[in-house]
Amino acid sequence: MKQNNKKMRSAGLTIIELLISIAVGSMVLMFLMQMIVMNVQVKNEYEYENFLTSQALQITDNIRRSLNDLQPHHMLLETVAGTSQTVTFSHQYDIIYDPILDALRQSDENAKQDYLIYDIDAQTLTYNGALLHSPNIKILPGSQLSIIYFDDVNYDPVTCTDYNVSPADQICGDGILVLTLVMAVQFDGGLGKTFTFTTKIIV
Amino acid sequence: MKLNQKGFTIIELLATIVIISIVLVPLLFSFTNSIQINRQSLSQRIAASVAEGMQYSVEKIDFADYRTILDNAVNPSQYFAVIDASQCDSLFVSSIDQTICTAIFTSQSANFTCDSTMCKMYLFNYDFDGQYNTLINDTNLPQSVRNILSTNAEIIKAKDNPIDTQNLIWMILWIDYYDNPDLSLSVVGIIANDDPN
Repeated sequence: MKQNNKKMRSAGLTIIELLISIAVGSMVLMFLMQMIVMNVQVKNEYEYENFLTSQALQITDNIRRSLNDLQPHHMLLETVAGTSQTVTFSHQYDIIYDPILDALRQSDENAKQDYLIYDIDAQTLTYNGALLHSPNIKILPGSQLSIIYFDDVNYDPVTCTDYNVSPADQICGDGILVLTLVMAVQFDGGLGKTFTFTTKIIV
Repeated sequence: MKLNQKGFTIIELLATIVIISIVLVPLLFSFTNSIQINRQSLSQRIAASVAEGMQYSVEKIDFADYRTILDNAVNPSQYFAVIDASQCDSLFVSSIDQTICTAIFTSQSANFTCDSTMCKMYLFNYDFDGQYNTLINDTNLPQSVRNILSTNAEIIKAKDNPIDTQNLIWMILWIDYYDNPDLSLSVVGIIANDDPN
């Protein structure tokens, strides 16, 4: 009998053993598969959100650094309903090369203006004509540029000439530029999930 | 040739499943962990961007106001001043300064928004009132601020060779950007009096 048993074991699994192993294996594999699928989903969603967040950050950093190259004197928002929003940053000078001095100097005559444009039709955001984000990013309706001025004075380009005073007094037309950007990635099959980013830039 | 007709036993099968699980589960957890680390680094990048914006904006408030705030705060048991969003209205007199202060300390970038618990500015006299060693051990200061005080080469040079104690103020911006007390960003700078005379 003992020998018989031994012989039977060498034949492999009984049907009961097979069924139990299939049941246990299925349960474990189902759990593992669920975890894998969940991980991949989370990873994809995160990468997408991460990409959009990086783009929003890149837009902010580009605007802030461009503005800080030449302290802007004033900013003005013009909205053409349903078409575009333009923020004009006025500087009181530009930095130019002076061949007589053989050096860089401030030039009042060449006072520079920078333009931040949200093109609602093209769904793009540009700074002096240069696209601020990746071409596959769309700035969707619902996005908005707005300005909150620090003081209530009306900007007067004649009287508002204060760049020679201390920076703390240069509040003539200064304020906060608020960017509310509804962004999504354009895929071949359509737009991805939209995310809204709000950023404030103190000018 | 004798064929091996022995099959797997149930124990062998279960052991295989257990081994596969033991290998796969930590792998999946490490995967989740890497996403978490990515999120932390992105948050840090956003915090750095906020700090940069705050640094640029600090000069919109008069140096004299910072000087007054620091002079009022320093006493024999405290050698620094702290500014956050909740104190803008009480620390600054002019309404424009209050507005600018609130704008600075409620800075917002890519959906990270500062509030009075997350973003603070610590001010110190340029010579640390001779209390540098007290400050680097002062537990009222966040650890990352104390780390900056004790490791920043410029600060160490300044405390050893103070040059102008009235017209220069050390500023450390502290941003708590993640739900973890060990993850905060501190950025050091100097506020200078543009018009000392």
